[in-house]
Amino acid sequence: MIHLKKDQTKLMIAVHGWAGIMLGLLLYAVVFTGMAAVFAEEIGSWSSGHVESRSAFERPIDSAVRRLAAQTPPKYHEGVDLFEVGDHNLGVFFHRHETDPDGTFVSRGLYYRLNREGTIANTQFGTGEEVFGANNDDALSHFLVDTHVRLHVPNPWGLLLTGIVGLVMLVAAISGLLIHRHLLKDIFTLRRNANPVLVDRDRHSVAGSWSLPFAFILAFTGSFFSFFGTIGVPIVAMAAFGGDIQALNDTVFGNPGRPDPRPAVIGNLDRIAADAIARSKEVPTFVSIENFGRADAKVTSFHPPRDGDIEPVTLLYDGAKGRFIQTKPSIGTQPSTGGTLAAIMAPLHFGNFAGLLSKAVWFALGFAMCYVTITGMRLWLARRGETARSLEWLDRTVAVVAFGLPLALVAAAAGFLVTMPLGSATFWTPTAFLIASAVVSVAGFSLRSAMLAPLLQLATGLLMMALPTVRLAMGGPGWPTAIEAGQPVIAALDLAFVLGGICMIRQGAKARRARTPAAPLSTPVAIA
Amino acid sequence: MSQSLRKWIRLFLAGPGAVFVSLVIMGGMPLWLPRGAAGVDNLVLPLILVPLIWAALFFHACLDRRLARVAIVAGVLFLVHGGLIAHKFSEPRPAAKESGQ
Amino acid sequence: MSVETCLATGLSVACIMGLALGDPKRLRAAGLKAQPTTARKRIAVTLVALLPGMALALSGDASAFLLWLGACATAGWFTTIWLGNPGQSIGQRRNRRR
Repeated sequence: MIHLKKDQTKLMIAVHGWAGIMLGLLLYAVVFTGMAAVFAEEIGSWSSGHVESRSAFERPIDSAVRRLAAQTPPKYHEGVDLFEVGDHNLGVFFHRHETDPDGTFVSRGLYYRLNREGTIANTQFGTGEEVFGANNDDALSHFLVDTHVRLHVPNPWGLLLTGIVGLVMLVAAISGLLIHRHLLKDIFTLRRNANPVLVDRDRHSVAGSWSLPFAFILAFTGSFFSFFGTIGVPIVAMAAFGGDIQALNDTVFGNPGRPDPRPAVIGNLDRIAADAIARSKEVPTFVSIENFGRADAKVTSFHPPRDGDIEPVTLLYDGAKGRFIQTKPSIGTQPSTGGTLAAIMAPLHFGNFAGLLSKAVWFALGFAMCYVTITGMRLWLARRGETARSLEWLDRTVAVVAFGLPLALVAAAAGFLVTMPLGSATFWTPTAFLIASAVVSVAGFSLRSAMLAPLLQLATGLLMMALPTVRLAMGGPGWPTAIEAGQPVIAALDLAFVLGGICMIRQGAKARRARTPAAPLSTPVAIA
Repeated sequence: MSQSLRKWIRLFLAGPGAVFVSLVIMGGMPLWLPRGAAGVDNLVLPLILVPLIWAALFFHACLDRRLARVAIVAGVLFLVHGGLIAHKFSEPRPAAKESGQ
Repeated sequence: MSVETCLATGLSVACIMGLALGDPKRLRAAGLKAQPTTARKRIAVTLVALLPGMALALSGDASAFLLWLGACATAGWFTTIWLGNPGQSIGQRRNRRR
């Protein structure tokens, strides 16, 4: 494709290889959990047995929000966030923007979690980051997302780490394109009977070639999300606003209009929600109210993209009068290049612009990238296998992470299903993951390499197949109830786990028969 | 210049150099980019483009055979954007009001 | 997924499968004796595979274009794996029939 000089190609191969080998395992963890997190919402419904199909915004919310406003100190009426939590229940966060003594810009206030009847189930005071933590019924999806976003490392370090991992993926994708001289000629070639290095090379390059545009898109958007708040916003705010982050936020996300602090009763939120649904044809994913109880109150509702578009829909209402003002871009007051680019970053990264279908495609491409990462590391090791026997520990570590991570995640799901009815899922979901990781690590150091991968695959497969039974045994809804309630995704995920489990067991058995270190990765199903 | 020294300079330009220059570019871009129809392009585009700017500087530092050209490109970008930032801070202005256009 | 996106993706995936079946390097590497597709035919099929994507992009339907691109990439990878399976010898069978 692109012809570099010999020494440049050599340098690019070194950059590609070292980028992968230094951070490949972290990259694999981030991409694998990201692949699963594509279906975080569906996994949340499946694992918690959500059978309410009507959105909180399709039910009356106005009186509940007014009641909460009356009992919340007015200083926290600066902003009100409305969103869905649990089984389509309403979460309401009354807050104001503050700058902590260490210079961190935060939203602090009172978070109310309502139950189905609209009464308060739980109240919490704190910053946005504190109150939006995991709950008992969303601990599993929260755990997946948190692993993907920051590997459970505290902010900002976790975000910086995943941002660096994103840049490494970007470097690997670009250098991969530069070093592959026959990308199109080799795109259908998988040699089975060549020497192990060539076999590994073909597997790596075929998966990498097909998923190359998406590796680029996901790495670029992922590093954008990681660096946006941690580095980008403070630097741009420093340069353009003398460090005033609130001023930057007001310019970029704020709504037009002069401040009018006169008291005014908020318009009917039920009527606003109904109007927003009618205009966008979709229920809101999030509703934000600025200056609640003031004459200049603004209500903004955020909706999934319309058919044929990938940019989310944002509707703006006059809060005091409850009147529709305009369909506005997510960023800025009117359409612009920067606003549109920023708005499409999330759909491009999450693949949620066309429902389950686009999510399934993004899941498959995420899977391809996991495969590329692991086969790339194996290729790097295979090329050095004969000259550097001291790399045996790395080979073993790659096997432990490649096959151990799926097992630990399935164990976390099992831990969640068992402990959610007991109310202790926020503790046991990560704990089950850690216990499984510890067991896998011990097995990794004590078992022979050739035995390790098949055994982990068999264990993962068996546990995956057991998940639907565990879910039903712990009181989760059966298929007829779920389908009747408009949640066929519960039955679909049950089926997916059973089928995935069968595939894993078959691959594990095949690898066990082969008993060769290269065998476990003979097909892509083997690593997921 | 010895091969070893050239290697270390290239490593510096591709590593910490590319990171530092891309951060300075991100800080300086809001001061010269057009604001666009919504008045946000100059603020949002640097945030979006920074991974690509870093990648461009990184690969330029790796692949350009003339090390002096790599240093000149990175140096000019650093000086222009750093100069814009320094100029901005040398002018006393209200903290919460955007300027630079 | 609209009917247009479905048809566009189906046509491109069919072309990718056709390209894979007659790919000379794949046939050579697998030791199959089937006649590979000629270079001219490969270029023509590649263009036909790309046309639906271009049409979707030009129509301004970003969602459909991304779905088409993602589905083609996934289908291309899975087709290559399927044809690279040791038990798979479509090219050989094709040759025998002739």
